[in-house]
Amino acid sequence: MRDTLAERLLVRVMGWDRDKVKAELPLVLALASFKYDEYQQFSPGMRFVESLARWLRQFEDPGDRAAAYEFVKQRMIFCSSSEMCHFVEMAYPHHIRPHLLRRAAEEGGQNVRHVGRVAGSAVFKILQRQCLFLGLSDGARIDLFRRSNRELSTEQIWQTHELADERVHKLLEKLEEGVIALGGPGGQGTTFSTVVLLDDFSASGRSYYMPKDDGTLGGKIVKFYRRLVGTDGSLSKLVEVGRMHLIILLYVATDQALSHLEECSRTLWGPIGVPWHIEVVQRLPAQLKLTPVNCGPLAGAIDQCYDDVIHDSHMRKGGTDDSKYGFAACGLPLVLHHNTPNNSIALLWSYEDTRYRGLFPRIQRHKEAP
Amino acid sequence: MRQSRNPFSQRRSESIDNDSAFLNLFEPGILDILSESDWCDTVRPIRSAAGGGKTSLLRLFTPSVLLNLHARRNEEPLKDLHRKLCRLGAIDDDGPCLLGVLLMCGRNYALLQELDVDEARRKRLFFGLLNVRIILATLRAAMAMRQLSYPEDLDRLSVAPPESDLHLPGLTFPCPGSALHDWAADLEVRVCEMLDSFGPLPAEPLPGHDSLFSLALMRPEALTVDGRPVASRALLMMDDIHKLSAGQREALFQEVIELRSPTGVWIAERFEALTTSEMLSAGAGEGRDYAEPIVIESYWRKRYQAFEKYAMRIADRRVRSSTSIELEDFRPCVPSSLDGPEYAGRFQAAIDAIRERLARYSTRSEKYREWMDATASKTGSLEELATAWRTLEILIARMENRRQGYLFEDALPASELDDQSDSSVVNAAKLFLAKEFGLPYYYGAEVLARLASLNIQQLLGLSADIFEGLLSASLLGSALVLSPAEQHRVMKAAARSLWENIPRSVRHGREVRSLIDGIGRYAQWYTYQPTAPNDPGVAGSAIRMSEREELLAASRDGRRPQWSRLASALASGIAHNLIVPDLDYKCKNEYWMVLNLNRLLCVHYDLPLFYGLYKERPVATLYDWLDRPFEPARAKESFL
Repeated sequence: MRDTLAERLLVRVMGWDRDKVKAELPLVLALASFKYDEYQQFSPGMRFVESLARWLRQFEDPGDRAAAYEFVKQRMIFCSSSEMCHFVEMAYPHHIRPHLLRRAAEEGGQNVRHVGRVAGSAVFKILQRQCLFLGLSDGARIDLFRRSNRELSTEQIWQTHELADERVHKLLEKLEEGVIALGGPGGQGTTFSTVVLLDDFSASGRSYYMPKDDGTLGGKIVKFYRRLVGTDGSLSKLVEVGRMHLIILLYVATDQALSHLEECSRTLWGPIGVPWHIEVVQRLPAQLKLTPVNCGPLAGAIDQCYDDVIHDSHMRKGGTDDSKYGFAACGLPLVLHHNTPNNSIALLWSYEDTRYRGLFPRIQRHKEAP
Repeated sequence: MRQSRNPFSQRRSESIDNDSAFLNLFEPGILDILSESDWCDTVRPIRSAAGGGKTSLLRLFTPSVLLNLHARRNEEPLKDLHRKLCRLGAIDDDGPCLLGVLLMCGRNYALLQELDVDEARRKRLFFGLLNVRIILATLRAAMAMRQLSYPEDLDRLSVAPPESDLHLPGLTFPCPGSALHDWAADLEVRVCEMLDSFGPLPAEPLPGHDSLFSLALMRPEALTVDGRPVASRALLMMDDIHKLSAGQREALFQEVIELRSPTGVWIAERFEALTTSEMLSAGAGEGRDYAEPIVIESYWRKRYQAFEKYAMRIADRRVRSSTSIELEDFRPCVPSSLDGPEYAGRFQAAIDAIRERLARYSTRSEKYREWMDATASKTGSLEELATAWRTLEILIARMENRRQGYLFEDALPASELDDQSDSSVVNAAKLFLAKEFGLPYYYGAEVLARLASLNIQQLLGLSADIFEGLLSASLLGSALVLSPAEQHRVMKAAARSLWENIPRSVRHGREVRSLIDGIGRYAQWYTYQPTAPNDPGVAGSAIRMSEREELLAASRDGRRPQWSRLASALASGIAHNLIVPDLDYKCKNEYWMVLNLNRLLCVHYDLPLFYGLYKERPVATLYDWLDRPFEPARAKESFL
């Protein structure tokens, strides 16, 4: 749709007069231009203004429409590609390196505040080399992470935590060479001393630690745990469990996810004596969460403009009766530039083919077979 | 990014990224500021507040813009510009003949001042960096003049030895452009390394120079490409000089003057670079060591009607460049008439209210009977009638205000009413009507141009708001017109925004705003007295020139801190074009420094926009306003 037509549609849908158009439209266009047009799941030719106009048109009640528009202006959070890149670039220097420096200072008997001296020490360099970075999903942006951290070896970063035996062997082989090159002892049996599991976003933390009906845990990190220390043990060669540190590093996460990860990590890793840390580059505080109580006039719109077809078997795992406030009722007002999380309110992400279409329609990852 | 939908939103020359668009938007009226005889042969400071149009003027003389203009010289909108540049000798039938070298001085230089070395070494680094940047900019401009690639084709450029003895280690003249480029680039890297270094500076001699020898290399005849001179004239245009430190700026001026460069040098800076005493004495006694500075606001102040036409032509160029709506002229979009049904009711209500107020005089005596009859018998539009009644009310108030009453209360003849109803009192009546009955006052193209207050950036800002209204109208399918009421609202909002931003955007901002507030509130109180003294109203204040001298002395010797404080606030207000001074204004057998408010600030205080009317105040009162806002005397309230 041509920009002008989309603008005209928006103006008509909102019933704006000249003053209102003058006040609102430049803002909408600026938001579109700076950020929202870059949403990757808009269908071909679609841009933000058109999507906004069509989305607002779904609300029959003008009050709901106004509330929805105000929500977009005041409360919605859009994480752009450049912002996400910035988080990735910050992740190692601001969140992992300080851990390693602290440990190196302790091991080398140095003052942790003498950062330059500690960072120049062989102990730190070996510790840094013995740090293994594994992606938890394709959102981990391993390519960018690798390019952003030239001080790390490409042989200590891998895009997935599901490693084949051959890859495990290769990683250890290169580790040994690397440690020797840094003046370390090397030799067979050299293992990684830190494992960092990376991902881009978590709202509930349940895809990493998923509580099951029988009281046990499932999820990606639990699977990783089993391969590392369990009977499967396919990754056990990578580390010496008694000396390993685990860091879960998320570029964006909610406080809700953080609490869940902390609680489950304590249960899982505590008993085997593995020190663990959760690091989040950009925290989304609990007060962002939308609930029927705190979202004011928007509550009516969330309630009415909802198609329960989106509450499929995957959404039901969140333990709620519907998906109005997103997976596990996380109630996020969040859009990520590549896809809207299903933890956001359904009003934002409902699929293109449902009765009510989201402002930033989501691409379904777990599409059920018809 | 989308293309900007509002052509007025590009308010800085630098943000117009291609030369063709720049030329389309450039209005040649500003070139009249240049004297045809010596416009590019001397050292000449060019000053204005931010947004006065300095950088646009400088950019016009760069090779790529001149070449673009030459190629498009037959296009109707550019013919006038081409003709003017031909007359100045910047361009001829064969193309550009001026080598204009533009150097932005905002980068790095002020950092040198923070280096932990003595002043002499700092100056050496400064001149060193400036020399290499001038050389590199000259080489780039020379290549652009000949449409060659920089730096690949620099071997085709030959640099002749300077006229004076000049020994540069590692370089001998004549030399190819590439050798000079490598030499300069190497030196630039070495100086910048010093700047970037966190550690102490090395003990060995610092790179740099003791003089600005680069000016000697810029002689047009010294630069040849394939044996032919690059240009017949050369002009170095240094912009953003206000970003240098005070010491660097002074050293630069001194050096350029002492060198008596054969090349023209323009030094463009904002007023904020000037010291308080320079600012307060601006316009008096300059120009001994260099050509008289071009002060853009001062130039236009003497020709404000020309500025207003110039401003409208700029607006027309902008609307023509719009991709959102098709418009040829800006003027029809901002109508300047209150004819129409939407205002008829209000004018009628005004007439009724004024007649009712005046009724008490007719019941008391016969004195004003003829005046009232004459007014009642007038014909015309409702606006004219309402204005006539309000004029009558002012004139009656004046009569009633006379201390010495008449012996006999004879009816005043109607002819006396005609004699007293001059255009000034009529204008005051229009202002009073607007204020009292909520009618628009600030509307129309002339008003818009006047509200720019001689500043292009301010014009573009106001026009951008108007244009946004036109875009809204276009979307709603309405006529591309902004009604006077809408225009008035836009102007009031812009004025408020300017007023609110003063503390954030101006040095000594809080004090500047307090001073402006004092001037504005006092002018408002004075203007809206029932007798409309000094009609149609005042829009500024004034102090005696002798008081100004005392302020200057205070700012120099610092012995009277309170006056020095006022001087700083005043200078800062002037530097940012918030207060527009007129020096040596003769009135009441005395000389005055008139302090006009920026015209947009007049809107904030509901003041008229006519120039030249002020109400003087003692300098001590102005000082008081810095801390205590003006409060009107109870005994003499204005009708507000």
